[in-house]
Amino acid sequence: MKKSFSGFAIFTITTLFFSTNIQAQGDNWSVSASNWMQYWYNQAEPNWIRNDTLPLEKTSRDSLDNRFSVDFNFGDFYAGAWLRTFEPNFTSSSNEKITQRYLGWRQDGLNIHVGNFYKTFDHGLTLNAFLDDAVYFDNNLDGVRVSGMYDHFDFDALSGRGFRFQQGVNEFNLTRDFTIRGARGAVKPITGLKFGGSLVKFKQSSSLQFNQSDDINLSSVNGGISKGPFDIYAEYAFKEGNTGEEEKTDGDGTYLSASFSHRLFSIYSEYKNYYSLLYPGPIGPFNTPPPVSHSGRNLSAMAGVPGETGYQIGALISPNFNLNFEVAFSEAYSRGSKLQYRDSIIYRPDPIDTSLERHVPIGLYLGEKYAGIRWNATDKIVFNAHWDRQDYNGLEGDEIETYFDSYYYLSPSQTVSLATYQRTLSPITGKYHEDYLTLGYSRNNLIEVSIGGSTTNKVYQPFEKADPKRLAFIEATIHYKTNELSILHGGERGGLICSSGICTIRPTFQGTRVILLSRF
Amino acid sequence: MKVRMHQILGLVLVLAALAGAQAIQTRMAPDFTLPDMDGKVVTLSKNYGQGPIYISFWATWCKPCMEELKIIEKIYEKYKGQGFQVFAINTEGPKAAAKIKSFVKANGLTFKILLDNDGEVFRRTFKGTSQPFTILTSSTGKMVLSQVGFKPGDEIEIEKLITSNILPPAADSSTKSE
Repeated sequence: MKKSFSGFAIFTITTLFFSTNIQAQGDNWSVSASNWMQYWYNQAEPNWIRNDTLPLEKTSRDSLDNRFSVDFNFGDFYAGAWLRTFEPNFTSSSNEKITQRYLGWRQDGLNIHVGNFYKTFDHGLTLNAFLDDAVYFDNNLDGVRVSGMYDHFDFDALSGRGFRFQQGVNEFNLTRDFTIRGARGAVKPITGLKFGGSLVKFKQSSSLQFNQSDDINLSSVNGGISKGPFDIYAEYAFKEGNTGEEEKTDGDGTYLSASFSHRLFSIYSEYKNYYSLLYPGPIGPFNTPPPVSHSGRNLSAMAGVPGETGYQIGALISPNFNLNFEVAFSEAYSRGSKLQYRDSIIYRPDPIDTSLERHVPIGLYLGEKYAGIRWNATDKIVFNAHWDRQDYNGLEGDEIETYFDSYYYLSPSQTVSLATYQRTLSPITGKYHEDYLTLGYSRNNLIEVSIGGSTTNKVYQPFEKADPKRLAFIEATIHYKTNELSILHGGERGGLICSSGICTIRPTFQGTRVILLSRF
Repeated sequence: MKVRMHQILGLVLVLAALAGAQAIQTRMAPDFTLPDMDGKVVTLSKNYGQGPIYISFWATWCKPCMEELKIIEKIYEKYKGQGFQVFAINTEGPKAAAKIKSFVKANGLTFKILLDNDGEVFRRTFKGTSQPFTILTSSTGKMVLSQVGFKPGDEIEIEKLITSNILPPAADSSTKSE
């Protein structure tokens, strides 16, 4: 590792020295590039590594994830590629690959794109191929996409192959077994009025994925109106499909939203109801209706249920520019008894006669209550606080987060900040809470320094090894021209992270982490 | 790991050196076309010629983004009469669609909000990795600032760059015809 770290140091210094707001370019062409490097050194063997169950697996204390992307532009034409080098703690999983390459042409709203791409059809009920680094999710497609965007209509037509996201499996090991063809369009006859629809045809070539949808046709219709303070949207999608064993897997989904927006207060609401809509299955699908919760969590992502029905209502209140309140309330219930993932069935004692030893499966419930405030008390000080309670009857149990942060201007270009929060969990193993405190200083977007730590009331053991009760860290971030270097030393607590309707557990980290982001 | 690491470094260094050797001060912002909250289409290059353009990629869950947009709103109010424009591009896609308009209104944001529903402009066109991610262009589209993250106090440097790129009144009409 010493050699690679010395290489990293040389790279850092050279990049900082050479790069400014520049790029290679001529009158009609240009080249631009960016590099995102993340390096971790674990003080001890990472706590998710289990050598007893993986005796042949060679592990390393350090790991690296580097993403380099380069783009060439020539008039209206463009081409680019993403190179990823991934060196995880399991050294046999190391890989380096061009993960995306593409070329295209764009002019006046029309775009023809060949290669890797992302695309969301309307509100995602029939197609939602996207990237979210927070949860390591990437279900890009590889094929052809033609898009047009104009004032009175827009459309997309595509054909591509995709791989199915699998928790814990990096993209290098996935094959593109799925073919997706689709088209969508919308007309906007007058400003604020829009209606359209989409069609998607899905085919998987792997016959080994039992009980998942095999050949599927999805269609949707949608309409929306945005007039003055009112905004209303509705979408209905229908899925026709069958498994490899000719079993029908038809399903449907509805999504509605309505809001009233005013300078002093705004109200928004959402409703979703779907069953057997997600393809090829509920975990990491190619379509995802909006999560309909403040935190982004939903039952399909957390427990793999085939359907759910839920709603959210929220309000934002702003008596003046310096004071904002937000409240939100949401509830969701699982739908259907035919769960595709047996682990997601929750067994509880018989609710009628608890003396019986018989345990019965129950439906899942996820509720959330959120309240937050932002107050710009004076020109020099800002307060943020929120309280977020989530009631979940699944294995992870309820969760309450109480958060407060504030920053104060020492001078027009210098601030100090304080952030503290408590997270209380109630899993089936008993009540558990984490307390965090972070103090920070920043100067003129040049440097930020923060120190902090967290404690817990008892040892939490989501993986083979327990997380320590106390963790502390120091982190420094330096901005220089178009580069950002961030170094953290100490411990950073992990936990469940949900984003974009996808959930993942991030393990606790102890050691040194370096992130370098460069654009040139 | 070491061999691959050095290959990456080599490639990056060659590019960095190439860019350095060209010694070009600034570059053009890549062009994009995105819809606003009412479905009207906005193309970046069609807005050149009036003054500097501040492009910010943001999300409703991103607290620093909120701080940035609040502060930029004050700067926008101050300079919009002199051609300064702000395009705040939301990258959340459908998951936040129901609340974006409410969020914008309730926070008193009056500049243009655009929607990058599948993140292609953020991820691919601008190579964004985290938010807030900010670009400031001159009135001719050259990038004069490219910044990841936002801390209170950053607005001093940003305002200086904005004022230095505002077109003098006499030059306004001639530049518009570019």
